[in-house]
Amino acid sequence: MDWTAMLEAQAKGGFKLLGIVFVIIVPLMIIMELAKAAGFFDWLANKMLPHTQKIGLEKESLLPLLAGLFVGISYGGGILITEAKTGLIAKKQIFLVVCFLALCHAIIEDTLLFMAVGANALYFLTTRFLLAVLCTYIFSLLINKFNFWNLKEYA
Amino acid sequence: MVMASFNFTNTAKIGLNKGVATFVALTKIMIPVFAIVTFLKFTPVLPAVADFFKPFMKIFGLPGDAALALVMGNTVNLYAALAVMGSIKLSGAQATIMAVMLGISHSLPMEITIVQQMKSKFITVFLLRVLTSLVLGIIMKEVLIG
Repeated sequence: MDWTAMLEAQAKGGFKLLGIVFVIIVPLMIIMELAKAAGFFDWLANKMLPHTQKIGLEKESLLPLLAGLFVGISYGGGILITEAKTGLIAKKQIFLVVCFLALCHAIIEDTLLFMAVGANALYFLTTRFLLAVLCTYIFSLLINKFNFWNLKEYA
Repeated sequence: MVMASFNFTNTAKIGLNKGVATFVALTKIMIPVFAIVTFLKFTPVLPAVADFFKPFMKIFGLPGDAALALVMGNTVNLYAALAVMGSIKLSGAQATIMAVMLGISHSLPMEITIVQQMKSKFITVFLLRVLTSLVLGIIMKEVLIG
């Protein structure tokens, strides 16, 4: 095994990864904070809630959901970590967002990537999205019925 | 849509602080996982795992070489999987089947470690992604190839 090349890949790749995360997460958080303050998020959440509530997702979960869905699971997850510290988000919501985003995230980047190797974008997008909706719905029902891992509590 | 009045500079500063805090939180999680996965990429472990899975690719209507793309995608990331996909001959249907499977389940060490910070059990998210990926691979094969 070529240790020099491996260490070089770790160092170079590590710095590149951090650079990308920084360049995305800092502007994203600033834009999201401004969108919240300007009332844009409330407006959008009110439009989305009637649909997301059907699969158990409440208002406090929509910000990480949108960030994860369009930008990537790391960013949605990062926001969830920050939000979870405020203690205002229910454990059930965290679990459901994680479930949804685990199956369906970064839909723009991922779809473009696979289109580049000849995959059908429509099949790719719809199967992933519908699967996430279905699994989130099933977990929401299961949590309401059995309250496993005490997920109905607040974090 | 109602525009609320707010202090732009202060709000942007709050966002900046939250952004940096989230960056620090993500860094602590991502760097160790990245170092381990990069190390793994330099060992013969991943091709060996792929060899083991080769005979099972028929279930999804895929050639045996597709196993390496699935293993690389699930352990390293989608870019590593795409590099392999580019080097094997796939029909449009096969590319779509692989895309669906990899879309659902990829970069597992990195992504599950991140979501695990919210006390989501590693095994739950792992099984959810891997099992649904396998099931949809079979369904997509039936739909697209028959």
